[in-house]
Amino acid sequence: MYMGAMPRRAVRLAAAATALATVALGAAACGSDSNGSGDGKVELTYVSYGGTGQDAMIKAWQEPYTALNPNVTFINTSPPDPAQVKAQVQTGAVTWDLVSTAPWLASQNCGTIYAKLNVQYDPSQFPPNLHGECFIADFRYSLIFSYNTKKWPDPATAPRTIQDFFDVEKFPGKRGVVPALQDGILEWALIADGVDPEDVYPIDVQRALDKWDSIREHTTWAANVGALLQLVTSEQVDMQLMVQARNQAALDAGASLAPVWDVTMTSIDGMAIPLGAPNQAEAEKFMAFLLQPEQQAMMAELSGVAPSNLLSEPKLTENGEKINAFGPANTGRSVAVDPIWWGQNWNQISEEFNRWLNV
Amino acid sequence: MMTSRPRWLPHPGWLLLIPAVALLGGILGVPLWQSFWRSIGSGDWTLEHYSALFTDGVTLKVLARTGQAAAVVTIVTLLLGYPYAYLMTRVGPLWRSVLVVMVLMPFWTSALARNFGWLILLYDNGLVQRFLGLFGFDDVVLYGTAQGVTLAMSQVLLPFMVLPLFSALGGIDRKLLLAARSLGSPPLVAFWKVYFPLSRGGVVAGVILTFTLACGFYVTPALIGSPRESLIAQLLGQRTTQLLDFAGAGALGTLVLVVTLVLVWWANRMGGSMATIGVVAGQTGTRR
Repeated sequence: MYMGAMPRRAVRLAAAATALATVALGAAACGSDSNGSGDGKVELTYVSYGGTGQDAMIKAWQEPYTALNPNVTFINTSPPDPAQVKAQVQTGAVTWDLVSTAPWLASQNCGTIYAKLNVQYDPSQFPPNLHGECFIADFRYSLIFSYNTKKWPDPATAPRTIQDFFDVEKFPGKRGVVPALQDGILEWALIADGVDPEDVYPIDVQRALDKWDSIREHTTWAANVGALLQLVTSEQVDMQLMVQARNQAALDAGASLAPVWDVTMTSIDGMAIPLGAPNQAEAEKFMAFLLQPEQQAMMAELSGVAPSNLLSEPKLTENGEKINAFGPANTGRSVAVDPIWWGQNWNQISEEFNRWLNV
Repeated sequence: MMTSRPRWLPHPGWLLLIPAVALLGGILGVPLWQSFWRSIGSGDWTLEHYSALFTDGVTLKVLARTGQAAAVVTIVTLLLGYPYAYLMTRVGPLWRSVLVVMVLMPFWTSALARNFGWLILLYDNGLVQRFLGLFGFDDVVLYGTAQGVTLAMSQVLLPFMVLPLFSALGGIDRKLLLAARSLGSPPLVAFWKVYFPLSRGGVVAGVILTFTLACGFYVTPALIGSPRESLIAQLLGQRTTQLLDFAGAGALGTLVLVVTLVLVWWANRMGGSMATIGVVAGQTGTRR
């Protein structure tokens, strides 16, 4: 290719400039650093599920904490992807301080990906064994069996027991479920099959899957709880196993549904600190703060989850009270999912479950 | 007055490539290598992560399902796209613009909005189901099924088929058809023996693009499909974000990459031209 003197010089100049710029950019990327200045200011990076849930956390926990401790501010981001936590810890570049984490996951990777915690709280204010070595239970939630009251308007002939969920002859219709093992769907099926709630662990996986198999053709597995809520509000399913907050959201949106208070699974949501987080001590103080009764109550009022602190007395809306598995509305019994057991057995069972689901 | 460059020194214009190479190497090459490195045991040489893929009872099934879905999407888009692209070469500039706008429309809406749109259309008692009901197909369930996902993916991927076809068909000399006719060939035979073989490059380019993109689809099957009928990208996501099994995910990713590359190589040998893909990728970007 022929080039005159001027263009050639221009090309050379441009090339040199480009090469220089690349090197400079690379150096800038490596050299940048933030966080941890010397004047006592702390920025906690807080990672949760986003949406209205995280907004509630900001209002109920973060803003009051900053009001009390003006030197502490928060950077909020989402989603709390555990793969990112693992990558940060493995590469030694941890930037997250507080991460919403499934309790079984924190317990499974305790001391390797998640830091062992030293959080000050009064154990008598919480149900026994609620918090783990590497997570605190920042709130509780329940998995509620509810049905469309348009389909079964008369309470006398509507579903009343968890056996009814699996009885497609007596109660024909579509069932909606999220395949989230941590919510207790296997335990629930076992109890419906006649296992005593005291004896669900260790879980007889085959028996639980056989139970789900019995209504396989009538079950719509939703990809996530948001998708299930959509199915419920657009009446694509007739009865469902759905977490409490989303039942409330459906009621608030005007959906006609009623809970079946027979056996309800309860779980906890976990919050953890990545191993090597920049501000672990401050993050632990914040954890102790959010576990207080008032903070817990405010979170429950704002988001429809349940407090983990037993002294907490949230004032719920009418719909919130109607669907509250932790309040007087629940006339059945509650069974708690065991995150520690799941931490030990998750990988194997989730693989087995996945195989069953995709057959 | 020009200083002459030594023979061994490449032309300085090559320096302009440094940013692109650095960017690609940094954000694509290095992580890709790391995934692969982890999948073979990070130095402790092992193939267990690969053998696990073939024995866990899920991966092969999902891989086959993904291949099948991608193949159906490719065929559907080819059948819809070929006449469309042909029409684009036969109309005037105004109508051609209209047709281009129509086919590019999906790119101008957010992927999420588009998928939620399909969600509502595909629901039970939704528009699509009621429409099919008019013709007596009463219980076609599309939400949460592979069929529904295939339908939505076909719409999203149609431009990737139409554009390479259009650029190939536009370059065909129509006088050849006249020549065939004048030598006594009926129109259909002339099309099949003269026109279609000349369009093969565009067909193969479109097929490669559509198929490989379909293999990696995540949002559409996650929203419209069902966890019961996962495609490979969902399996990858699950392995990474739930099981934190980076080595296993690396193995799965490598397997998918190899399978895709082999298919592309094979299709390329069948007479496509990667240059056509380059042209199209430049025109459309590769957003999904």
